[in-house]
Amino acid sequence: MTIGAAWISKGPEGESLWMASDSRLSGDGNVWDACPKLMSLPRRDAVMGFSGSTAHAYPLLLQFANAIGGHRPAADGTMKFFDLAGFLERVVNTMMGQIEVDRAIVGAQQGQLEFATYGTP
Amino acid sequence: MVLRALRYRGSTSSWRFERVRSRNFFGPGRVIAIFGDGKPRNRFIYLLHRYLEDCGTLAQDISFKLEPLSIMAAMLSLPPSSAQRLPMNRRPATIGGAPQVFRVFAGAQSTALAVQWSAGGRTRVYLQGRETFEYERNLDVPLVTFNDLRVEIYAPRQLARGNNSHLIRLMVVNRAGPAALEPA
Repeated sequence: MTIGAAWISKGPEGESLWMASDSRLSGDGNVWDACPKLMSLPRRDAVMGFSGSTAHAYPLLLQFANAIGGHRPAADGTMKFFDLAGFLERVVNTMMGQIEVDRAIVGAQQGQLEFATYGTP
Repeated sequence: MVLRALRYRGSTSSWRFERVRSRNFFGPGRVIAIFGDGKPRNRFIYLLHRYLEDCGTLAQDISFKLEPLSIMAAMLSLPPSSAQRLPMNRRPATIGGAPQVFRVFAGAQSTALAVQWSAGGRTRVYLQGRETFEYERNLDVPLVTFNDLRVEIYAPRQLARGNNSHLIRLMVVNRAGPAALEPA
């Protein structure tokens, strides 16, 4: 669960983008108050944050960073931000399209599903 | 500066970066994306709206300064509650920890800001949600301090010197806050 905000501020020093969030991950029976929800990217002028499923968001954020870091025009700013957004859209749509239901737990009882998820007997 | 929100669009069954525009609710010049879960999100919007109203700047054609950060810190400093009807002096138990903050100047390097935060009766410095160690005191990032709704930002390495008279204060926002945030 999350609260986060990103806003644009204009002052004498020019425009700046601010992003803030809380630091709590929860929902799996634990409460963990030391978790990053905002991430800088290899492109120096970009920051991302997330809310929602951490299981989806963390892999996506890491792959965004990998995708930018592996393509110099995206990392050094040669690629325009709008083109970068299109590039990242393709990354997220490709990745999210590859999520499959684990056949090992299809139709399993709740207890078996927990076994598959957590590996506890 | 451009602010985009990645959202799933059911009509095309795809994820799209959508441009975040100003919210007339706060004022035509105020561009903000608020993300999170329903209850904390709605409470944040309400408190921010009320704060701007109290400051007399609601609906004015000006940009945000650090008001959203003030409200977020104020929310996170409240005691938690799991009540269905959340009291005004409580935060949803689903959010917590120290605020984490990033700043990006146009065309410049994005910067994480450390946060001086009090929790459990002690005050520590946090960076991106993590409590830093003593030997990290000379962090090369600016430091944010909160005092009620007052937000101050100090240049890197300033507080570690232990001499407050030489602090380089970068920014201060100080306003009377909504009465709703005052402890019961």
